Amino acid sequence: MRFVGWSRNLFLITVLFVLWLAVVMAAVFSSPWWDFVFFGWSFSYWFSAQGCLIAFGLIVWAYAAISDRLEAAGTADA
Amino acid sequence: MRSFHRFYSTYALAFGLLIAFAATLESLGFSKSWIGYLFLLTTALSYAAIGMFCRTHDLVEYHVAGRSVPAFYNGMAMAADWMSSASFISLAGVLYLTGHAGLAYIIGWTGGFCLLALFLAPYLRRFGGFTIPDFLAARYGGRAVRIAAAILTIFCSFIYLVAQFYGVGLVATRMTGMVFEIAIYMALATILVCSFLGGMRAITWTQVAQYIVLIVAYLVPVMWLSVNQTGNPIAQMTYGQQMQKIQVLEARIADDPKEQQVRAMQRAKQPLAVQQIPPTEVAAVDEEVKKEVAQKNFFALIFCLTIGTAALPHILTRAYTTTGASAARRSVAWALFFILLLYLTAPALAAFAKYEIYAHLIGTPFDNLPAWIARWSSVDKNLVSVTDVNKDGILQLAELTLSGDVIVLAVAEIGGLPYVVSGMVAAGALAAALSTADGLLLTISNALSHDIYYKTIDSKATPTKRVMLSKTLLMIVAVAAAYVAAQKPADILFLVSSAFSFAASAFFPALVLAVFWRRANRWGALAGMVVGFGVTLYYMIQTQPWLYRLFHAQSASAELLKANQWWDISPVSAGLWGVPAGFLAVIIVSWLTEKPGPEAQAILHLIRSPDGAKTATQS
Repeated sequence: MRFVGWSRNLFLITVLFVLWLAVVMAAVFSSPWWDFVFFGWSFSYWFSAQGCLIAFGLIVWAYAAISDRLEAAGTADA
Repeated sequence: MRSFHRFYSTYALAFGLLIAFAATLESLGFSKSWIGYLFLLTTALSYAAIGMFCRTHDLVEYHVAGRSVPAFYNGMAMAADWMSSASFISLAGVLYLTGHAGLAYIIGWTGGFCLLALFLAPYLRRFGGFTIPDFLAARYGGRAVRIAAAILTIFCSFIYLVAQFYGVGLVATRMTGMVFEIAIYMALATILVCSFLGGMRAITWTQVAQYIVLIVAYLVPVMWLSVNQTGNPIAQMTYGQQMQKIQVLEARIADDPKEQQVRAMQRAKQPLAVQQIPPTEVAAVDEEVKKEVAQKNFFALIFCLTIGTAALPHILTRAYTTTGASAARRSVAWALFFILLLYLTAPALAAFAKYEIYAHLIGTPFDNLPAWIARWSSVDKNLVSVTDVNKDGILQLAELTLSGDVIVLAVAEIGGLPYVVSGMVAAGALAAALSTADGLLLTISNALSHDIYYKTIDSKATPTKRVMLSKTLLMIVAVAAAYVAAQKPADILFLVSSAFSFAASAFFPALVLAVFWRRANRWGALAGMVVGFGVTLYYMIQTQPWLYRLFHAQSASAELLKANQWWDISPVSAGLWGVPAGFLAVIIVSWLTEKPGPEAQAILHLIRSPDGAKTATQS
């Protein structure tokens, strides 16, 4: 049994998950070399306190928006 | 949708009027405890009124709000469900005290929502059950899976629930001077009116109202402080510059000879062993090791909080209340948006409070200290205390002890804002604790009445009887949790954070593999839940003093507990071991036993097919 759009869904999830992992790892292992000043903030602090949260928000929104379109296309195909 | 918008705009407006009314009372000279009562009672009554209005006997309405909540409001309810007194009261305090290390909570508690959206929420909605054990039992089959999942659900949710009652008790006691136990039972009454009469439906709509109250109560004081300190109300953007100023102030304070005198005197009071550690290269190496341990624990805590967030049963249940898989995904997105409003602000609150204290409070003569210090230290010496160590009559930084829990609740007073703002913050803290308690309570009573009673003991029970039973059990659980909280159990904060480790290791492997690994079967799932939970529990027992005493009937020395740690991970993050153990157990045991049957295939087909192309039969 193959389901319409399941493999496309898996691909989308994988991409977003890898993106998410990269963001989390960047926030966890913030190293001194990117501790430059960013609009009056220390960048590594700003990224952990705000940047990565905004990235999380974008990932979830992207997943909701893209899979809506995938599903609409998938039902049209079937 | 339009009528909801109208109702909640009116509600927000009414809350604004309440604030204006309280401000008028304050200017007329009414006492502070009157303003505290006004805020706590009025908001609590409004929740009760919404709960009464939404009362229901219908099974689907009672368990999952009729599966009809629009994504926007479901997201708001999920945000309120999620943000407990830990987020509202403690988060900014932790950031105030620990700075960068406290960011682990912010990253972990928001990152988990990505996992929830990607791996679980839409599939749970397509399945469309009543509880999380429902889903696991249908996918894996068998009574044992259901019972194990139900027991673990009850365990994780109960420790979390006790902490919410405790939070309510603290807020009410501090704001009104009520006795702690009475405050807890008052809160119990409010919670019961809501969840007892209307189940999930009533809870959802009160949670939306509670979200409005808590977000206003959090944002207004921070914006106000931001205007006072920087002239710009957008606190999330202005606190960076305040942090730079704090660093300058910190350096100046450290250079002050009086400050150094106090610190030297405090060091002299410590036991001899601590004093004798010489500041040589040994200390430098020590510093290096400490940094590494801190880094490892930072990672471990983020790991546990992230996965725990995506595996807490009362949050997962929220996927069932939306209108479809697409709405489930969008409601997680909305939830994260509403949560970010608070989480992006918490570090700002910590920074503004710190700036006020460093710039204005430190260096004040003792007989001229602001009133809030005496008020809070009279509630509990552990919250705020000041002692003039060097007898110079002036407050030095080292002479002030502040508990993290007081930062948010006292922020208005620290910043010199009118008392009405304090009352509003207290109402927000109450809303945060009540909304989470409601969700947890219903999750526990549903696991008991639906999974343990209806699905296991008496499958012929009528819908009316099931709703009645759920209501009765809900009352018993609520009273039990309030009773436990009233005992003020030891190490309550540890128990809360440990709930994340437990939920992560018990549920996450079995849930995710249920959706994504066709080969996962009943025995694998059972093994995964038991092993994951077991490893986490074992690690905590071996490394946490209170649990060690409880299980070994003797206390352990700090060295022994430290030696028991693996890779220097603190007991709170035990899930770092439990989660991989759970995954391994599911995979190995599933491979060793037979393939899942056709029922599991049917469920997989159902949860993997898009909404529009439904082919499988749905119960």
